[in-house]
Amino acid sequence: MARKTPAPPTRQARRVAVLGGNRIPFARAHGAYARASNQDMLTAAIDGLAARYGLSGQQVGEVVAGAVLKHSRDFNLARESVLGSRLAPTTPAYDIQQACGTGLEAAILVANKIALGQIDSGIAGGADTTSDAPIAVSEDLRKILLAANRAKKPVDKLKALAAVRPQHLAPSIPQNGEPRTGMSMGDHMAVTAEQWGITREAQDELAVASHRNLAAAYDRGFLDDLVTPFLGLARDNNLRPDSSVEALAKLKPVFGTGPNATMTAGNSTPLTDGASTVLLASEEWAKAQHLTPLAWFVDGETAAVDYVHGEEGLLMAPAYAVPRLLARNGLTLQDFDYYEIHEAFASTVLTHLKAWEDEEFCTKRLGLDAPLGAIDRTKLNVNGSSLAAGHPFAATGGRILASLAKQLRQKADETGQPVRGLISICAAGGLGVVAILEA
Amino acid sequence: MSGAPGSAEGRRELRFDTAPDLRRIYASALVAGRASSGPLPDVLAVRLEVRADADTVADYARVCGFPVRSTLPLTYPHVLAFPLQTAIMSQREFPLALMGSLHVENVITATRPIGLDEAFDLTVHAENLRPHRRGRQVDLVSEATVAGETVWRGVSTYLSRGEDHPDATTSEPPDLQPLQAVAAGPTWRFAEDVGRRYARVSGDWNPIHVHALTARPLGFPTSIAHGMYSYARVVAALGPRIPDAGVTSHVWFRKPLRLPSTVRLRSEFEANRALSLLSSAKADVQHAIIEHRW
Amino acid sequence: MADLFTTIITSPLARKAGVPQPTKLRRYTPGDPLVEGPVLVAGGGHFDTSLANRLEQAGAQVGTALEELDGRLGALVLDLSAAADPSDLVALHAIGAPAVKRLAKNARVVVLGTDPATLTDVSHIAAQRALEGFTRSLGKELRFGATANLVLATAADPALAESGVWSAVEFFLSGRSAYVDGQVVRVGDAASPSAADPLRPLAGKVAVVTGAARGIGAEIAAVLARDGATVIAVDVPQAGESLAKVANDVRGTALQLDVTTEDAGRRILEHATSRHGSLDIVVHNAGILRDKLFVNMSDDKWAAVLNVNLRSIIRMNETFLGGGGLGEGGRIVCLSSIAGIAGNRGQTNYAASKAGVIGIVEALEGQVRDRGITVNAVAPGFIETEMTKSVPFATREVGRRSNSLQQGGLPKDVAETIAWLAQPGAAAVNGQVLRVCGQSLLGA
Repeated sequence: MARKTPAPPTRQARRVAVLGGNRIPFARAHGAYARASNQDMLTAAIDGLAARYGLSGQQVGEVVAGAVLKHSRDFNLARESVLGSRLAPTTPAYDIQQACGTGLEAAILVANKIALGQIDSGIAGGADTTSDAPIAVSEDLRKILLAANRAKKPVDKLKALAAVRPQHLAPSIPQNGEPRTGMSMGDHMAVTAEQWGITREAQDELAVASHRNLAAAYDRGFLDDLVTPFLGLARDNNLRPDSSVEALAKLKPVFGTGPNATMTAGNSTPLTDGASTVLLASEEWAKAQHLTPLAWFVDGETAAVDYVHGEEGLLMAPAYAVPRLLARNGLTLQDFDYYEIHEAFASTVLTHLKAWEDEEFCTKRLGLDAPLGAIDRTKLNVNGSSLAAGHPFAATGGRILASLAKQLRQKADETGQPVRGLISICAAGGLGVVAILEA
Repeated sequence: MSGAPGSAEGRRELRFDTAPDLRRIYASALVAGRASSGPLPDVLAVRLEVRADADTVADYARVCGFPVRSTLPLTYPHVLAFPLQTAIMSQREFPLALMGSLHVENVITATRPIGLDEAFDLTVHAENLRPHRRGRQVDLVSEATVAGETVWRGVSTYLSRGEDHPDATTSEPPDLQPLQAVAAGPTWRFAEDVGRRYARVSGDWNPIHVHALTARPLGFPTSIAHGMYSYARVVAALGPRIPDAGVTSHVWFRKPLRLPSTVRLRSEFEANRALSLLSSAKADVQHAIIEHRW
Repeated sequence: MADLFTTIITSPLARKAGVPQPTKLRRYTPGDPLVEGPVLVAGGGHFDTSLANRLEQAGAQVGTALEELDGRLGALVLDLSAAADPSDLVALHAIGAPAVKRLAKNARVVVLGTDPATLTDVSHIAAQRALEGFTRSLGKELRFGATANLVLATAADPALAESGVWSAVEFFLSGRSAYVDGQVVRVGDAASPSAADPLRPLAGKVAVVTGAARGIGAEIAAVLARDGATVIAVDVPQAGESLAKVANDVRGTALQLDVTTEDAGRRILEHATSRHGSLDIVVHNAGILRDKLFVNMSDDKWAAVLNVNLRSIIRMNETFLGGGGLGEGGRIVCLSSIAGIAGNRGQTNYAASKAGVIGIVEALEGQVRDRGITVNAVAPGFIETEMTKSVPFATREVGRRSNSLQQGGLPKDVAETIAWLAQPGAAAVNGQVLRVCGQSLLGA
C-alpha cells in the first residue's frame, strides 16, 4: 500500500514578537566571573529570564544558544544549561556558533521557526568567557597522547609517552586572531580604519558617548528589567560613567603601527565574560501568557566578505548586509528611529557609517545607484553599546536585541507612532549579521 | 587553636581562627590508641566569621557537578565544618576512634542558601552517643548561623564498630519501593583518582580515600570514595528539581564505594519530596539512599 | 520542614547560655488537622453553637463540657460575647480554670467577646473590656507553646459577624498563629466567605510582595504561593539574583524595581494586570534599617528609612486604591514593627516609620470599607532574620526570650498571619494591627 505523503504546509509566515530579555552584568575578563563557565553564566541568564517572565517549570519551544570560546565540556551547551535551569527539562535546545554574530543569529533562527509555525516560543542566547577559556595542548603533544591512548599494552603506552619533550608542554591558548591571516581582529580593524581615515578624536568621542549613554540608562532604571545580578555583580564593571575625551586621549594606541595608529584600549572593547537571553514568541503565545510584545522581529540578514587577501576589511560585512536587508524590506537607511551598531571597536562603527555615505563604496562595492547616506547620530546606540558594556562575544546579540526592543516599545508608547530599529553586528571570519525590529 | 576555659556547665570551647589542618589530625589519630570508653566530652568547636573562599568553592562545584553561583552548594558548609568535627573526634577523651569510624548517615537542613560573600559562624558539637547494632554511634551536629539565625544545619552520624547491640534501634531509610518503577537515571564512572580529586577540594585526606596503598592498612582492599562526594554528586544532579530554600536533605550511607567503580542514580519525584538511590551499575550494591523534603 | 524549628531553638549557643529550652511550636503545614486534641467550646455566648458546628465540620472532636472530653485539650474556646455585666464573668473562671489545667502542649485558648467600642452601657462595656485584661494575663501564664487570644465581634448583629468570627477563630486555633499570643482581633460584619479549597484559600489571587528577595519577604512569597496565590516578587535590582530564585521557587514572576521611585506603584500594577490579569493582594514588606542614636543620626539615615518604609507605601497605595487598582476583595497588608509600637533605642527613624505605617492603616480603614477592601498591618516582634544582624548579641538573646513563648519567631510566622489577613475569609478584619511577637514584653 502506497503511503500518502502530507501536502507541504502553505502557511503564511507569522509575526514574531520580542517579549523581553535577560542578561547577567558583563564582567571584565579575569574579574568577577573568573571561575564561572559558559554553562554557569548561561544558566543564570536563563533562570533570570524564567523569573521575569514566569517560565519556571514551563516548557518553551526551543532554546538556541552558543559560545564562541568553547570547552569540550561545553558539549551541548544550550541543552545542558536548560537542564540546569528552572525551565521544564522537556525544553529542546541546540547550539550554534557564528563568532560575534552568534547571539543575533540564534534569534534569527528562533524567529524563523516561530514564523513558520514550527514552534510558538523560543529563547535565543549566548555566553562567553575569556577568563575560563579552553586551553588546548600543543598539536604535537595531542598526537602523542592519542597514540598512547590507542596502545593496547601498558608497555606500548609507555613507549608512546616516552616521546614527550618539554617543548610539547607549552599550552596552546586560543588567540583572538583570524586563523587564515594570523592577524588579530584589532590589527585587521586598524588597517581598515586607516584606509577610511577614521580619526582618533572621532573614535574617542564615540567611546565616551557609549559610556555616558549606558550610565544614563542604568540611572533611569532602563536596565532594571533587562539585567539580573550574578556572583555579586549588579552592573557591567567595564562601565566608566566619568569617561572623558581628555582622559581617553592620553591612552597609547594598541593596534596598528606608526604615527597613524588610532586604536587604543579606550576605543576598543575589552575581553569580557557574560551571558544573555531573549524571549521570542508568536502573537498567540504572547497573548496566552499575558505578555505584551516589546517589538516585532521583522527580518534578518547575514553577509560575508572576502577579507583573507585584503580585498575587504575583516569587519566590513555588515556594510554589505544592511543594504540587502533594506532593499528586501523596501526601506532606506534613514527610515529608522534607532540604530544599534555593535561597537567591536569605535572605528568599526565609524567606518560603516562612512562607507554608507561614500559614493564609490556604495556604487562600486554594493552595486547601488547612490550612497545610502548619513544617519542621525543622536539615534545611534542611545543606551550605550559594547565599548561601555563590554563584549562577551556570543552574548552581545542578545544584549542589543532586548535593549533595542525595549527602547522601541517605550518610544512607541510615548509617541503613539510605529517605530523601527536597525541592528548591525560584525563578526570574525568576515561575517556580519543585521536585523530589523519594529514596534 | 586555643582551649578556652569552660563555660558555666563545664563545656569546653575549641576556638579556631582558621580551619584546623586535617592531615595533621589524621596523622596523630593514626598513631593514637583506641578511644576512651567514657561519656561524650562536652566540647563545642567554634569558628566565627567564616567566609567561604570563592575559588575553592568553584573548584568544589566543578568536582561535584554544581553550577558556580552566588550561593554555596547545599553540601559545602559540611566541608567547612568537617575539620571541626574531626577536631572534636580526635580529643583524647572522645569515646569513638576517629580512624575507622564510618559515616553512616547525614542530614542537612537549609532554611536558605548562604551567600558566597556572607560571613557566618560555625559551631560543631557531639551528641546522642548511642548503641548501634554493630557498635556505637554518635551525632556530630554542625550549625552555620548568620546573625543568630541558623541557616544551615548538618547532623553527621558516625559509627564505630565494636561490641554488637542486637536490640539497638537504628534510623531506617525510607522504603525504596517507589524507585522500582524508575527505569533509568544517570550512570557515572568514578575513576580511581576521585578520592584525591575530592580531597584536594575538601581538604579531607583520610588515607582510606586517597589510594589503595594507604587504604589497605586500614582494612580496605582498594581506596573508597568519600561518602560526602558521592552524596554531593547526587545533590548536584538533582539540581533545579529541589528548591534552594527550606529543604532537608537526608542521606543513609550503605556499602562503601570502591574505586574505581561505575555507579547509577535512580530518583523518584513527588510534590514535596525526592527519593534517590545511588547503587552499583548492576544495582546489586546499594551505596547511598538520599531523601529530600521541602 | 519540621526540623527547622528545632534547628533554631536548640542552637548550641542557646543551650550553652543555660537558658531553659523553649517548646517547639506547632506550626501549620497544609493538611494538618486544625487542632491537635479535643476542643471545649463553652461560655453561652452568641457564637458557641455555630462555632461548635463549624469545628465539627472541620474534623475536630468538640465538647460543650469538660467532662465530655478525654485527655488533654487541644483548644479551649470561651464565648463570653453575651456577658453584659461583670457578674457574668464568673462563668469565665468556673469553666476556664479546670479546662486550662487540662490543656495540651501547644494548645490554644480563644476568648470571644463583643467589641466594647460598639456598646453603650457602662456595665456591659466594663464586662467586655475585662476580657482583654484576662486574655493578656492568661497568655503570660500559659506554658509549653500554648497561646491565648481574644476575638471581639461587633455588637450590631451577631448573625452577620459569625462568618468573620469563625475565620479569626480558625486562624487562632491553627498552627498558622503559632507565634501570635495575647492579641486582640476586632471583627466587623462584612460577609466572610469560606474558601472553596481549604488547602488553597488564596487560589486565583494575584499577590505582590515587596522586599521579596530574602528574609521575611521571601517567606511571605512562599506562604502566599503555597496557599494558591500567584506571586509577583519585587525587590531592588541589586537583589535581583536572589529575587529570581524566590520567584522561580514559587513559580511566580520577579519584578526588579526600587519602591521609592515615583512610578513604582504604576509599574507594579501594570505588571500585575497585564501579566496576571488583576492585582488582589499587596504586601508592603520592603523596609530598611539604619540604626543610630537620634543625636548622632545623619540626615541621610533619617530620610532613607522614612522614604523606603513609609513614604513609598503611601505613594504606592494611592495607585493601588485608585482606578484600575484593587477591586472588591482587595487586600493590603503592611509590615509595621513592635518598634513602631513600643519604640526602640537607636531606632528613632525606624520606629517613626513603622508607627507611621499604623497611621496609614487606621486612616485607610474607613476609606476602603465600602469597597470590600481591607488594609491591615502586621507588627513582628523578635523574628530570627538577617535584619536582626545589627542587634548586638546580648540584646539579641534578651529580645529572643522576652516574650511569653520564650523564643524568637520565624519569618514563616509573620508570613502565615499575612496570608490569613489576605484570605477572602478575613474580610471582616480591617484597619487593625496584629502583633506577631509571642506576646512580647515590649509595648505590651
